[in-house]
Amino acid sequence: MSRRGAPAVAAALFAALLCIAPFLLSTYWVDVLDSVGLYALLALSLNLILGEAGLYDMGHAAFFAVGAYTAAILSTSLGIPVLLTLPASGCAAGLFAALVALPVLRLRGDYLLIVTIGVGEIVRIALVNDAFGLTGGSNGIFGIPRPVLLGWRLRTPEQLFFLIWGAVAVTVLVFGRLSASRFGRALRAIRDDEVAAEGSGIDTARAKLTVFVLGSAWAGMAGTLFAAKMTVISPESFGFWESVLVFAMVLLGGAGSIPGVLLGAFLVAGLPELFRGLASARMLVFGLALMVMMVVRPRGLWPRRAGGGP
Amino acid sequence: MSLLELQGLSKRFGGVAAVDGVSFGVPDGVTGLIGPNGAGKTTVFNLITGNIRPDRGTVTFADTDITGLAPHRIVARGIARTFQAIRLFGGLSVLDNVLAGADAGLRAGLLASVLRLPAQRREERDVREAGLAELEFVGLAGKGAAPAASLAHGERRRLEIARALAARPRLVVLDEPAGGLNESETADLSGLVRRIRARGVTVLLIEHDMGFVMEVCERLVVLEHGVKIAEGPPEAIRRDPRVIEAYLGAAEGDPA
Repeated sequence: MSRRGAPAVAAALFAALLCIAPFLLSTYWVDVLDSVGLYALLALSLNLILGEAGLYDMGHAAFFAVGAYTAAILSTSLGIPVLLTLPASGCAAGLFAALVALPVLRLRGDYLLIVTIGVGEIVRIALVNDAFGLTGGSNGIFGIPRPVLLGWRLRTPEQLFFLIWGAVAVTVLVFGRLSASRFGRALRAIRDDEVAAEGSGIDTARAKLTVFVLGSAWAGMAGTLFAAKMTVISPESFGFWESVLVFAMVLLGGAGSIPGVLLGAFLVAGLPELFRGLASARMLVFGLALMVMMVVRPRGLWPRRAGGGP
Repeated sequence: MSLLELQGLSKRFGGVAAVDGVSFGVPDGVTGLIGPNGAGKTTVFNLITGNIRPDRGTVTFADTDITGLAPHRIVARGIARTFQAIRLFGGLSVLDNVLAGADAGLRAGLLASVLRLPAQRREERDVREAGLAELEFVGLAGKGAAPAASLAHGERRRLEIARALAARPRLVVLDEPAGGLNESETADLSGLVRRIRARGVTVLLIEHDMGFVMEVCERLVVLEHGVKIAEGPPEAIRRDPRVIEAYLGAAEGDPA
């Protein structure tokens, strides 16, 4: 039991630290943690696609954008409370993923990477050009109402903290169980050898479609939380760079490992804040830190063990 | 009618006829598919398992036409395979490799897995038990938790066979199962093939090791240049002048 006990204790400690963090840290740092939490949601959902199934998706921000804009449009023009748009945002992002999956999922490796970058750019450019007259062009959409949870209107970073990190907790639970099930096993088999997976009786086309739609829908729901937190969204929040950052979180932390991906989100989203004192050189230092870490630990900082759980 | 029937199978790659009008049946027991290098044996396997589609001809399994079905559907119908160059899931544990082979028989959906419904937990427990039993059957008991990438060559071959058996097939097709094995490992493999047959599973195998083929196979089919040139019991094949000329004669003094 001690082998399984240690990670459980570490996880409980981590959760306890997070729960008291908003009471100890300044509002600025709580706001940083809110951003880290949103990135963690994105990274966990991309981890399903990239880390578990090995599908090189570098357009994850596109689905984040579809969800955020769905939430923004429904809440500003129809007056629907922003958190109630979660299912619609998830469905919109999932449907969009299913639409692009047909050409995308036939490809492998680097080809898939290029096409998903293209998908991300198409979405961003469509938003800039005020797609369907709904997205507000490069100004985006403002005046998104504050989220209301059980009658409470969440305004401060401290209040949003519990909403966002609560969503992360649910995500860890759901994806952890999926990863430990036959679905996760099938995805990892596809990642290791797709031909052998198909030849072992795994419906690879269906598993790839399912994981792509599920991971993208989850990014869409993260988009709802992002819109609710920001109250203003614009295309620049959903550029190629966002996809690259989330991609880096998964690979850096440890593809396929949930604690690793959380660590990746903390490092990639949090480190530039720590380096803020270096002013304009901070992204340079950050880039160097990434390179050193990938050379020293190519499988990620906290990789998944072959035999073990998530 | 045999369990598996191939009828006029043809497949061209570019201008080359890799398989040209091949017909044969695979009855219960152990059948060997032999022939010189480049005779089209692996292509025939890939046509059976759905990895490639034939230009002409049909594959009939248990009286149903399975021509052109996706490989995972063919596994679900009861044909499991191994690969010539071993293809394991290196990042998975040994047991998870076997469980991946059982996937076609599992029913749990996403929601049941997230909620850990009783049916899903029972299914996982049962498939784990069955997987451990397959590991024991092929002689890999106690290795379930090890990463598949850590196994020695001979163990990988056996793990691939365990993964195929986990699908509970009626027919297993083994592509050069003795490839790269030493003498004692090959002897173990003969025993394993016999025990698979004793379970009531039909075996079709490609092999170059003639000693092994003559020992374990009850029937042989011989291919040369994509065409079937002989079929029958090993003793008859051994004496068939066309086979001797095409294959055994050339192989004399050649350990391969």
